[in-house]
Amino acid sequence: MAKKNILERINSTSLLAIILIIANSIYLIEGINTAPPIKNGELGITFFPILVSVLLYIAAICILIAGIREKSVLSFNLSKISKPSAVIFITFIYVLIFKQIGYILSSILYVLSLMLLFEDETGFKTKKLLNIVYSIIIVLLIYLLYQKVFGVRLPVGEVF
Amino acid sequence: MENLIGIMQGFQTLFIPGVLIYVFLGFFVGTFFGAVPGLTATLAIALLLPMTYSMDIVKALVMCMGIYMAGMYAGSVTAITINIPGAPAAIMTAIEGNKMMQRGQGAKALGQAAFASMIGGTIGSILLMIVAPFAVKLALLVKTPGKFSLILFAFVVVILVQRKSIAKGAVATILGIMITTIGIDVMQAASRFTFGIDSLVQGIALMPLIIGTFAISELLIQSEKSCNDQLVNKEILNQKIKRKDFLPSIKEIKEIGLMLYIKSALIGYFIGVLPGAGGSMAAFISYGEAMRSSKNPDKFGTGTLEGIAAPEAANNAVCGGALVPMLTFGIPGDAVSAVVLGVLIINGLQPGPRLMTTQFHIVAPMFAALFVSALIILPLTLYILGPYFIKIVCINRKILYSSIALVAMVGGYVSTYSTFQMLMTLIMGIIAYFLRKQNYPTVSLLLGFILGPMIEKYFRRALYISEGNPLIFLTEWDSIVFLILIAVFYYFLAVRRPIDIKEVIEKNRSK
Repeated sequence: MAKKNILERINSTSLLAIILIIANSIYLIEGINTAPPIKNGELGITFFPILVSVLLYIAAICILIAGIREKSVLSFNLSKISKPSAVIFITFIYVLIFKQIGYILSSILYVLSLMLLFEDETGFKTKKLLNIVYSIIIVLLIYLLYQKVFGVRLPVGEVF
Repeated sequence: MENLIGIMQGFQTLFIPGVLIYVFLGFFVGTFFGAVPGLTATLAIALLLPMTYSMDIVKALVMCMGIYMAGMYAGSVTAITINIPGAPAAIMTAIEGNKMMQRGQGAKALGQAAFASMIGGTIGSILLMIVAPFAVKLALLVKTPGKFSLILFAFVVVILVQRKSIAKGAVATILGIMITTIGIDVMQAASRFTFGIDSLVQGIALMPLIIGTFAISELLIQSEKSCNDQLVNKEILNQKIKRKDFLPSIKEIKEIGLMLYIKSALIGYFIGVLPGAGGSMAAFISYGEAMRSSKNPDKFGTGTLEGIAAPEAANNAVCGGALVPMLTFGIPGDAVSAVVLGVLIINGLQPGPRLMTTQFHIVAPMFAALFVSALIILPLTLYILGPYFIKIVCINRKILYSSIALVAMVGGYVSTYSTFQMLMTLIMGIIAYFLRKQNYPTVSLLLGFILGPMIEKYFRRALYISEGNPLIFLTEWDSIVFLILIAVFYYFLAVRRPIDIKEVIEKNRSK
């Protein structure tokens, strides 16, 4: 059997280990640039973080080696990642508009979007109008819970 | 005597109707979150976290206890009825319980799980009340180098219990520590690891990390699942379960043996005390011990009541055990107690000997609530909720998860009234999602985050005391004790690995 090249050995285990190693390197460089680990014979603010960063390298390299030894290969299943990606995108937009248009409106849009996203997966196919009604009820219930019961101030919106 | 009076006053506080109602409320929330696959007691308390800001701390804590105890038990409901453990601690219960369900003995299995949970939970909470005051005295003896070694011990155990991948446990723990280093240094007024982003100077708050790790990551995982993953056999859904079928008979209890309940509860309690081990490990080990000491070990894996009683008694006893190190040393025993620790911290309370001595009036109702929650498992779940248990799996996931998403994100905002922490909630959720997909333990990430500042502080302080000499950790007796414990646990968890119970079960099934 022909030997696999290094790219063919990359699977989800080793890919995450590589990402961790890269992130750890950025962290380590930031630490070194911030302050020396030891100054005038005393431990600096970056000594301990640099120490744990070295430990992370060791653990991540162990995972990388184990990943390379695995038989599985990296495969992208677009249908599997499309929904989580959409949830992330919708949530990100929600964060952006939350203060701008206020809790009520942004949350109704957020909940409605998630409901539509989960729609065909639930086995509870609901009419669109009902989805809007559900969204409004959920948002108002949580508004009452936070604002009225627990006295938390929620944004009313800056745009309007 | 002083502690006994304190605990009695705790019960007195708990029985004020305005407080007691929170235990019941927590109990119902815990039952729901524990029973629905994917939702856990940890998630329930994580979502409750932002609300505790404006709640009375005693009410918040007793509610958490109700969620904790009920959540631990309720995992067995879907484990037995549809073979999907509602919580990880119910994995062993699923093996035996679902076999009984298929034989038409579902009510009996559910009843036994509730009875064993009640016994285990009660023993665990009594032991908590007895042991905690002594643990406080012990905690007061531990000085700075010992505190460092104690947290190191906690980390080693957290990592070693991830028997499938110790390296992944280590990575998750270290990641948690690294995240805490972002922002202001633990001992000096200097910022670090801000990567040039001004907002990062405030660091990443505990609430976005907890909510992101447990709520947002769960939302992302659930969004992947299709309807078919959760389909329930219609025959099972239509099964009529009568209330009288639930109650375990004296004959069955005698056959199982009271000693098995007590032994399993003790196993659960002591595993609960260990950091990071939690309910699933307790269930696993007590199941193994029940099988080893059983007269009929061949029946394990085929639907036996012993195999339900042991893990259920153990996982509920964990609740009492896990609170001992959390309250006395500030080291949580499992994910739920870690989030409860978060409730204390965000309300300005620092767990440790001082909390247990000067603010015992806050802690005592918690003990009482745990005890009461254990006692009400049997009557409340079986007589009120029992016949509706199977219907829980029919919950409309669309409404459920969009509500959870909203509560989670608003909770992230509430932590500092800034959309920055909301964004952090999302980012933590994404990180936790990818880690969970690769079987990295998120509990380790949380423990690393909570204990990270403490281990760094004690490490630096100890070296400051010894003028930079690391031998201080090997010369102070309190530190030596924990270093020896690390070696002992390393031997038992990493060198001499326990037997593979799943292999034995498969063997029994194939006979």
